[in-house]
Amino acid sequence: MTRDHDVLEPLVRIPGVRAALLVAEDDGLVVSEASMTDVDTAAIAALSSSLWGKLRKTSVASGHRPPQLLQLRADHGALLVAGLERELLGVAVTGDTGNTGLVRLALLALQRDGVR
Amino acid sequence: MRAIEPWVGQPLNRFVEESAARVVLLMTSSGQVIAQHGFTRSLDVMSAAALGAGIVASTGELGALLGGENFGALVHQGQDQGVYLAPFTLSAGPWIGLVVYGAETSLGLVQFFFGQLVSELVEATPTTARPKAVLADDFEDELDASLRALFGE
Repeated sequence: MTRDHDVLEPLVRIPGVRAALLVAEDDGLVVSEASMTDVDTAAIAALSSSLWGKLRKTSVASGHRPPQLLQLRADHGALLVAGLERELLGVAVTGDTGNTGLVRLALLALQRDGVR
Repeated sequence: MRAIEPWVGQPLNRFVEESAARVVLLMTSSGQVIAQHGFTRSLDVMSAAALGAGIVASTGELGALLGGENFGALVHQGQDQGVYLAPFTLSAGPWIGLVVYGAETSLGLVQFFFGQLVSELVEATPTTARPKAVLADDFEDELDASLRALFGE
């Protein structure tokens, strides 16, 4: 288990979390992951980094600071993305029963404490 | 987008739209161009196809030397743009995709949508599609027709 993988431990321990990833912001590639087997982490990484990039551009263009956290609610779960240091993104996917409040806190802690 | 094989058109158009790739080239493993997007000169596309097929053949041989396993996609990341070169197999034979992308997209997106393109091509391949002999009697006519299809000349 790598140190980056250790960083994801607090996220995957939260009930209802189906996947937790560190993603390279520019490339949209998975740096580290912990997930259920049926989750397409490469697709999540590519699409969430694209979404994050568009959100950041929109936010800056409208005169606001870059976003801290993105939460996308869907029919059967949620996607949460947070900008981290070293041009990384912390990404979590929850199912129906996922506790998004705890996931937000864990992502913000990752943002504050760093991934080292 | 221009294609010699009409069934390639729709999946390739979708890939170009979704991945925001600048240039795309689909070719056989021997470097015969099947479809292209973004090229404006026939000389460029023929050179790119020959070089792309050469690179895939070289890395294939390298893989064989290093333990008999074929490499997957090859990525060359530059300052302003990157090149994604990936072999894949259809019932019509082994093909290669060459994608040039810029900062408006990402390698992850190109990789993801390229996977979808390959799946769609596998589905769309006509069951009767058979590779033609490279040096058929009507080679010159076919070459002219292919260039017209690819560049509208």
